[in-house]
Amino acid sequence: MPTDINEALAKLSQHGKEAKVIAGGTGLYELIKRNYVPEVKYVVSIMSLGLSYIKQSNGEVRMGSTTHLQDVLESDVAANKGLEAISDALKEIRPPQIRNMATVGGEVCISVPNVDLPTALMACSAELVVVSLRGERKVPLEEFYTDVFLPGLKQGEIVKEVVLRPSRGSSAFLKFGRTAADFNLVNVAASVEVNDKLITASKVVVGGIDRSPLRFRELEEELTSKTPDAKSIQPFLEKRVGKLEILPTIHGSPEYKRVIMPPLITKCVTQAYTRALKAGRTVDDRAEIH
Amino acid sequence: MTEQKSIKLKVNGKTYSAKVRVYDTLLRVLREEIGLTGSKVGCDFGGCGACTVLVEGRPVYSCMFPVHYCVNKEIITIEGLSEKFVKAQRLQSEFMKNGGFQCGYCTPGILVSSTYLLEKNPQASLDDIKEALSGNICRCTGYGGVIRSVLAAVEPKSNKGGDGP
Repeated sequence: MPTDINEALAKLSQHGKEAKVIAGGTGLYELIKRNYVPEVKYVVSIMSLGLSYIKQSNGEVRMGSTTHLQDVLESDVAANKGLEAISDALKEIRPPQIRNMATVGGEVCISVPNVDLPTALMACSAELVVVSLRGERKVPLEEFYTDVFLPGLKQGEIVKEVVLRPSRGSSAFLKFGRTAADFNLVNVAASVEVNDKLITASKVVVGGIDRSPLRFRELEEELTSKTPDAKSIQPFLEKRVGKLEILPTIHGSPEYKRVIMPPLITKCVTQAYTRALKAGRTVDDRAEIH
Repeated sequence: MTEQKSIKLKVNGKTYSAKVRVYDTLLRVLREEIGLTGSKVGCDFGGCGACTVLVEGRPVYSCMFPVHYCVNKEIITIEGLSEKFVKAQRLQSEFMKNGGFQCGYCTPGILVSSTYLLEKNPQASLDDIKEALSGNICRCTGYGGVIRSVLAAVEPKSNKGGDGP
């Protein structure tokens, strides 16, 4: 268990494929126990590198890789404008025993379709800071994923922190699973910016249907310069999801997911929009008083 | 991964030294090295909650918690729960009165989770209880008895008589 980031990075590059990074432990433990990763001989823990923090300054929220999900949930990260989806998602990651162990970096790097935080982070335009012995680089989360269990990390790299910026809009996250404590079948996060009741910009991200969270650009375009109306969004989505290739998971078939997606996405977009309106109204009201 | 190492663990206020392997879980060490068998092996994959213990005051699944993370941390298991928390004693008696268990295999974990809840929030609502116990599976009771037992241990919201809790 290294206590210094350079020591950890050195160990990782020394052992190459035989070493894996471990943070909270909820993911790798199961993989090792099921003998899915027989090549791993060394487990490098990053829990003692001082990467458990939430810093808010200069209009940025920086969450250290090993910050526990529960700590983020109890913090005021989601009180920032536009980051509401983060706490929506964290509340849906159950049970508390997992939130007390799982970490922000782990949730991002495990790269499986049925986790919740990456969907919300992506809708909030999160950026990752990746370090290696060669130095630091920044990657937008949207460009980070390669495949299932394959995050966009080169050998010897670790994710140091996740960076978020409050926006002018509002966001929301919704999840549909078999039970309240289960993995998702489909999850969705939306962030919207509103001006004069019309959507000026939006990001809609859907998880659980592809190998990594997927942006719904067609819907984003459809929403622009409009007031979202469930009666038009839902039929729009119903037409589109038929054409999508959807990943079957143990939790649900593509056919089932196609049925769930349109109402879930519609509800999420509407919720983000309603929040944006409310936030906007508060600002307007204040302006009128003064 | 058979290499062994000796580490010291602080469990229920006592210090134990235990032989651990490179990738060992807290649950295995508690049960097989230290001999505290109150925390149960259920699914052994972090899904059922029978192994729940408190590490630094927070409930975690000991079946997947790396034991190396526990050095210099305070661990409370079901064996030390009622000594440490008054609420645990109350909960235990409510579980007896209200049919909070049948086979009892999940009970240690449920008591740890519900003690944590009531210590943090003595006036927990039904929703708070469901959230706190969402990581503990019980295949006998259908949760009715469990929830009744925890609700019975919740402090009343207002106290008009002013008689204290």
